[in-house]
Amino acid sequence: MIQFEKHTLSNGLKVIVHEDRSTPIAAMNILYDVGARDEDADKTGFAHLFEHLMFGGSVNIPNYDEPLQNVGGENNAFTSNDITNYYLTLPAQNLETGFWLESDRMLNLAFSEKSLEVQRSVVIEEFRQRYLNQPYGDVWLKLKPLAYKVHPYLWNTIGKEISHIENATMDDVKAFFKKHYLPNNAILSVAGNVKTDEVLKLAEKWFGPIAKGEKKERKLPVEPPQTEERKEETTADVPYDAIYKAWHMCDRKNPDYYTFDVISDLFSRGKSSRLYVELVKNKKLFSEVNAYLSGDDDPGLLVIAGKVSEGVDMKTAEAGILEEVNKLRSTVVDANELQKIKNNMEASLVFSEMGVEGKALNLAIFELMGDAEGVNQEAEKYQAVKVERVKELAEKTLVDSNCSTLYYHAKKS
Amino acid sequence: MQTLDRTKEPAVKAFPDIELQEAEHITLANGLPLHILNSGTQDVLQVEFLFSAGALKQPARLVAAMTIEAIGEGTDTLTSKEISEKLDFYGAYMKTDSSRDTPALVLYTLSKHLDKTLPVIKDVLLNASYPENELKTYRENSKQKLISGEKKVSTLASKLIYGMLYGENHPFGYRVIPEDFDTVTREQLLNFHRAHYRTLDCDVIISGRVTPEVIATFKKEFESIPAKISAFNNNTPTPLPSSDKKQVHEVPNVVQSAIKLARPLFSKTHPDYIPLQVLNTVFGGYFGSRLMTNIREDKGYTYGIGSGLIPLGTTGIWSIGSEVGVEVTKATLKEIYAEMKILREEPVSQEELDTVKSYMLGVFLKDVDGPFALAEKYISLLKYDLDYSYYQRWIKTVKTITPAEIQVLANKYLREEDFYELVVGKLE
Repeated sequence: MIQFEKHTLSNGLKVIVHEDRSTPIAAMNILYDVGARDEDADKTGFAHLFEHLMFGGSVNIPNYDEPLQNVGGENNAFTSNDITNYYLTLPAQNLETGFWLESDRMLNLAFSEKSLEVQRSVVIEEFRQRYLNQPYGDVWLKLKPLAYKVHPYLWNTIGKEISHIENATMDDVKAFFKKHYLPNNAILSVAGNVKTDEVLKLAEKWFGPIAKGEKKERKLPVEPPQTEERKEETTADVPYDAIYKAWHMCDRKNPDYYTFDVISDLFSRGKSSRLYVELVKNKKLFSEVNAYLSGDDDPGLLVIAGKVSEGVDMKTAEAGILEEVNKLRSTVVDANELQKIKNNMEASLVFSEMGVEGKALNLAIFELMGDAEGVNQEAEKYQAVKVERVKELAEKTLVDSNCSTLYYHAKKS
Repeated sequence: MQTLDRTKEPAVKAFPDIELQEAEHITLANGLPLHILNSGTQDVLQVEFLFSAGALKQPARLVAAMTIEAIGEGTDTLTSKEISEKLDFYGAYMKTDSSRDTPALVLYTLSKHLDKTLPVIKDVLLNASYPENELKTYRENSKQKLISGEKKVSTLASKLIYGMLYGENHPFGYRVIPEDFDTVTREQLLNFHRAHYRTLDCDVIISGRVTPEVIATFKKEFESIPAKISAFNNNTPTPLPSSDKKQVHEVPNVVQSAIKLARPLFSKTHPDYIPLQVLNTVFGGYFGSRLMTNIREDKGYTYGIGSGLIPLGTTGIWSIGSEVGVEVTKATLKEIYAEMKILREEPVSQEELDTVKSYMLGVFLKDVDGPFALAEKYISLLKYDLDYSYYQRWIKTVKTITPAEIQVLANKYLREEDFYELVVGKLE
């Protein structure tokens, strides 16, 4: 249970505070409601490139990192399909330094041409390191455009191709900032050894004077229902075959989301899970196999991914996955097995509330979904999942016509 | 209303005194030492059984790592599936850590379920049976993971560098090959388990909400089991480094090379270890470090570059690592050596050093936040036979070290000729 208070400044910035006296530190999290899905199809990778540039100096502060390190702080950021999130931790008594830094870069950026040039090249190296220079690294570059045809989830946060990053101009970048980095497009959360009224005062002092902007309503193309099975084959210099199957599922706010999460856990959470026991241990079809949800705001994917065991044929391995999928479609889950998953969820939630950094992030994310209080209703929602609904959803969703499959072949030497 | 001057930084408040909660100790009647960090707001526990049964003690290659990694594959009475099922049902989780010097078995559980989950761990510790049918799968899958993992240049480089520094036959230098998973016999695993695990020759570190009921559960489960606790000993044989100090491991068709530079060093007990941590932070230990500032933020050669001190048994290494574009691999090496030279020849400014000090103290504060973090801090003392005075020395050294002392250290330890250089990928 995370206690918090919530306040909205007159410029639209939402501020959430959670007091935790058990720690000497404070965490500050700023979530901007902009992600890769908000990019133009011919200028992808911008939200993420922009995240890098946010560290290149702001209108009154030439260097972001140094003053923060000077007060014993640390920071980082990440970009997803849906959001761009910045976070920092510091000794609680120096919290105001965080407000000074974060408000200035919301006010206006001041990075140089050189900074843009260097960060373009850093991001290109990131692209190579994560997606091109490791085995199976390009899976999502192939799987997403197979599963999505019109929704912007069809590209990755890093971008569709390196040229989009190479061609980013100063004007493009400035326009992106003006459009998205607005107080009324952001959520600020603070957790740690702080006093709520003092945090609200600091928020008013540093963020209050920033003018609100015009927040455009998000109008993304809706992905039409998939009606035919999609398959793609690819070959790369990897040691073993792998297989990736993705089914379209509901969006994050849909109550069925929790049932889907339970389904993915039934498949692969822990070493007593169905796919591990049947496909890795008993049938020895895979050396490893996992199921997970993409977890996106808009309708996302349920994915099963496995590395095929040496000497096993790809089709045999796939048949193994489908057999487990069909079991879930044809047979109601045993109550005891469902209880196991729910107990696991309960424990995970308790463990996830251990650090102030995670608590600040969770509050901001749930506020974005509609209400920060949602963070405290998760346990209940998982407890409410019914075995009948697991079967219904599996029957409806886990069908071939709703599935995209990537066969990833190892190059035979 | 006064206008806000955004160019002016808010007043920096003095750093708080760091009050580090220390572990409490209980020795069970059978001699088993429990170290307790009762802290935090959540009803959770981390229980770490820490052994010194690493590669230094093993009779043959891979035996130590395989004994701990496959410990959950079955006991005299439970299959691996039953072990997992019993833990999974209570939302608990068992993790093995097959580190080279101090392997560990770790249980994460809600405190309220400890009476159900601890007996499973006890069974694994006392009665692991390494059934041949389960081992077979373990062997095959481990081979596949090893081969896949080494397709990543940075993973391969991290392994090869130990061979260069310790020698390929040293327990810390030997690179595991896929065939090793077949060579190790069930008998060897059972013997190693019997000698080190069944005797409970370990330290137990319990952190989280440690209630009297938690302690009672430990007493009930373990007090009557005969234990044989031996004195901590991780004496490391002298390394035999490679005579070839610059190596290129060619990998075709890569777009990036992994760079590893490393030099032999000592463990945490050496008086220069703490001051070197400050030098390391300046050099490559944080985002504002010399290496990051030059090679990422100025040149854009890499997504990241860093350096770190790694203690290992009674020895250690100082290592620098990065993944860089093939076309700039050579240029990156040149810049790394140039940064070493600058630190040897020019004292770091007081301003930069102050930033590093504040940063390090801030990170320390974060590192002692929460029960598991406190346990981690204690475990890293236990592993090297140190006590809490180490952290007092750490804080004092970080606060007082001078630019002149940093330069002396750089001249002693940051010499190009002491480093071994490895490129995995291409050096054009």
